[in-house]
Amino acid sequence: MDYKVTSVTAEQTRNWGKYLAAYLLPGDVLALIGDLGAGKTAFAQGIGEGLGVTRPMASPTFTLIHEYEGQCQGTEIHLVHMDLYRLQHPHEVEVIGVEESFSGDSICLIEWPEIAEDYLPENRLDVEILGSGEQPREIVFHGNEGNWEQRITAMIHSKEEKLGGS
Amino acid sequence: MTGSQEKQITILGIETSCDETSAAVLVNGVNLRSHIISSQIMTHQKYGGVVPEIASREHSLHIRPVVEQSLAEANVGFKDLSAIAVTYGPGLVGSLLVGVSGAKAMAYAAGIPLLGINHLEGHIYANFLEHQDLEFPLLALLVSGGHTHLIVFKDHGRYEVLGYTRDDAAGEALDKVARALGLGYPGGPQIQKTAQEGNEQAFKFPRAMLEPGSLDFSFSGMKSAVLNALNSAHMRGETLNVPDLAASFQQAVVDVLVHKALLALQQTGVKTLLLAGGVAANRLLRETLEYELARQNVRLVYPSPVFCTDNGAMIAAAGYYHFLAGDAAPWTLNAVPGLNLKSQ
Repeated sequence: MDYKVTSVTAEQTRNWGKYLAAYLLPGDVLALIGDLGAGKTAFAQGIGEGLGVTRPMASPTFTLIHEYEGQCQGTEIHLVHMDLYRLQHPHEVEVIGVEESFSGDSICLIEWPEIAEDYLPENRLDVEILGSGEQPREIVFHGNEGNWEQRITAMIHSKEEKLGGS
Repeated sequence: MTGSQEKQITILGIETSCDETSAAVLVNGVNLRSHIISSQIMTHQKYGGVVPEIASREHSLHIRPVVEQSLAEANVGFKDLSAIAVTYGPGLVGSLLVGVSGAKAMAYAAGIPLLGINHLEGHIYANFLEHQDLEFPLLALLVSGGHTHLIVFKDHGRYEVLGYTRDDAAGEALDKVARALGLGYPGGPQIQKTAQEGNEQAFKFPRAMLEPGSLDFSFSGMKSAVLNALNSAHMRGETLNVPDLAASFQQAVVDVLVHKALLALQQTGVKTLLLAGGVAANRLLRETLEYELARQNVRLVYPSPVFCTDNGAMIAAAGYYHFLAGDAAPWTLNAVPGLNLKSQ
């Protein structure tokens, strides 16, 4: 089942990342899907903010993998921010060490994950950001396996309560 | 040239962080005796970007012949070297490891110090290769595919990062826009070439300046503005003039870089600006800075194009100053893909 929220600014997209961070657990893997300029990096930056990452999170397009230190549910974690935009062949996913980042003490965010499809764990959250340009964005959460459904509904409910219900 | 009479410091510099496998022999910080660059750019052109799998495989094939050739051309042997300097980050882990492991083995076997060099610092030190008269303090504008930084150097090894990009690097934005415009790789030079036939006033793209006085950069929104223009034209069934788009976008990026550099000079009172990194080769950027800085009596220094892209000579240059400072890396030196420039 898919859950959808909307965002009309990059700031709101970032905030949705921040809200989601409160429901993440060590070991989580998130695939961030969307066109160039959709707001994937903004969403990732929001997650970083929510996980207490203090270093600036710039786009990893060129360098492929950035790693940060953060806090999740009271424990220290590595936040791994990847961008596979420039990969051309699925086996390059192995070479740059994508799978090594899937560990119990890490949270992994993967932009342009399509090429790594065969390597991604079934238990992951897909976050698709639809829309581009000046249009509002629709952020679609799709949890494969695991308890993502509960976590996403909890996040959306808590957000709606803060807004006074809607 | 073994058994030299006067005391000279000879550094072998090795760079393998991304596209290039490169080695150089530098004597006393100024005398570049050899400089070998084995570029994979032709391979990458086929794929429209750096393909890391190819990068690390090619590095491991190239590192030995590249080092051997650089020693042979410089007419030196391992016993003539004072130290080996190698890039240990930031970059692609597989590529970095080829250089770091190779350098470590060679330095250990030769019984000489190993120097671990930050790739970003190396880019800035490319300026010292051709300009020995640089006086501190210096302001550096480092612009490449992965980085956009403004850094003030108080002395060798003593610097403070004043600003950096909050999202895309300038070179990355140029690369992505070039790809969206169908211009190919590497994006920066292609944009520059195409822009020559375009009108830089044709499109009004935003210039992201952030908060007043901020020395940080943001190129993501500017990139999106170009994509938006392309998308909306596509929906209306129109085609936009590609040279005009390239010229207008290049102008917007250069305007921001120049504005921030001038602001940093004004805030720090520094009288010399060093350009560094791949985008430092951009002609519009150089010419605009040339013009603006002349008016303010600030000296502009930039490396020759060959030293703007990744190269071993700049690593040897940075290594030379670290050697003088008595630095040496431990034998446990590891590749650090996410290495930062920390103020120190």
